[in-house]
Amino acid sequence: MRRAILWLVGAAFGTALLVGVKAQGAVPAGIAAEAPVDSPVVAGDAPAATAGTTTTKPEPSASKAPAPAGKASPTPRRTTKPATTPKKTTAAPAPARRTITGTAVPASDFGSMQVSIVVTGTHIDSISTLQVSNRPKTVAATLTQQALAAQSANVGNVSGATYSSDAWKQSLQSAIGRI
Amino acid sequence: MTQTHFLVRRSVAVMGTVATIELRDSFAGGEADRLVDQAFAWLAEVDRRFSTYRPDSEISRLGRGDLRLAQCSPDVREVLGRCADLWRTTDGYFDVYAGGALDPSGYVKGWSVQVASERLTAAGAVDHLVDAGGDIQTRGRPAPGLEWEIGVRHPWQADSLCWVLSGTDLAVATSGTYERGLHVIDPRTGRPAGQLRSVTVVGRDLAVADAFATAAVAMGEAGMGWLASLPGHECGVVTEDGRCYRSDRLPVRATGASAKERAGTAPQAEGIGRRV
Repeated sequence: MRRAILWLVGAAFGTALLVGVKAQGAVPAGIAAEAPVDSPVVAGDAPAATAGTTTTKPEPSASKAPAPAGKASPTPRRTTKPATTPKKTTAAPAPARRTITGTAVPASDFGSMQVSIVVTGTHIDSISTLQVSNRPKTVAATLTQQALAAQSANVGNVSGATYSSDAWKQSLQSAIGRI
Repeated sequence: MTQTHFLVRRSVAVMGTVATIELRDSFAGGEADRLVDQAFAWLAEVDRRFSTYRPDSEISRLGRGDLRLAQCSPDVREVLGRCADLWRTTDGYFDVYAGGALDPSGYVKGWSVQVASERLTAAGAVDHLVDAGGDIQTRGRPAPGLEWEIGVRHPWQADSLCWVLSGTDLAVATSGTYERGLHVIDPRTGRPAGQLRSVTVVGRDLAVADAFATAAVAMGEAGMGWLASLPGHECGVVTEDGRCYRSDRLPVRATGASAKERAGTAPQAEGIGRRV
């Protein structure tokens, strides 16, 4: 299990980088979300990263993530010679800022962890963690939040946490004493 | 305006708390009193056999190993069987061993009320209410054309309500931390659960509703999502930090504070009319 999570983290970096790299190429912004074709994680969305990861300069953990065919190794910025960096061309499209949602990964019997990241190019700007109920919907979708309002207790029968009969007996006796 | 015309309403200290029984049907002679006597006798019997505070109860003897399950009464075996089912239904969060020793109290109170209610119905008292320490079962109607009204206690203000529920056949169970402190143990951690201050579950079967409310408290906030997914049950939850949630079909009575607020009247702490 632990290994699987580590592996997922690794895969996530690989994927995030891949996506970023691809976006920096001539691919128009906005369509790259499904990029990792050969990511074996789970078909569909980009997989999850977990909280606690450093957002700057991720190690090339591609040793675990299946490095896509060697070429164009997804470790940017290490090349000392910025040969074809788009810095020169003034018209270079600014790296798009996108939100990528990971798959929901079972974390306990009652829910999953799902992470979404905001990336600009290859840079992970932020990571947010969602906890998702395993059962049909999240709480927010199925329970309505409302203000905790106090109504007067003008109702004869009240459901509440079980109370001890001690105080009740005392009060009752005091009332009886006043008869 | 309907005048209350219950024939019998009586409260008795039993099971360490207070139980109330109210009958609304007409009976000849002292029949209503006799039925209520029988119902209270049943609750007292349950207390003798199931109380963890009595060293000589079946549950205490079973827990100590002085008694084997096969030697227990059919009621005890039935209750423990149902508790085992609920342990599975709640993914282990309703656990009669959560605190270490055998303690099925989270099921027994609701179950005993439910059995009392079933016996009243079988005896012809089809319109009644049974309440044991805030776990309430209603049947029928308090009067022709009226529904039962059950308040849900405000977890910080003992003299206030969060909601007023209404209906005919209602099972309303509330579990919370505000009366007896952090007494619900999260069986996964062995520590007291404290995220949810009050959980109310409404269903048809009070024993199950009671167990579900207890399990949700044990789960903490994850319990809200779990409750929301339970078919046939509605819930109202107040978190320890004062957030308040309810399922959309919680049978909240339509009138009262909300109507008053809509009408532009300042929502004061004064009495709010309960009659439709």
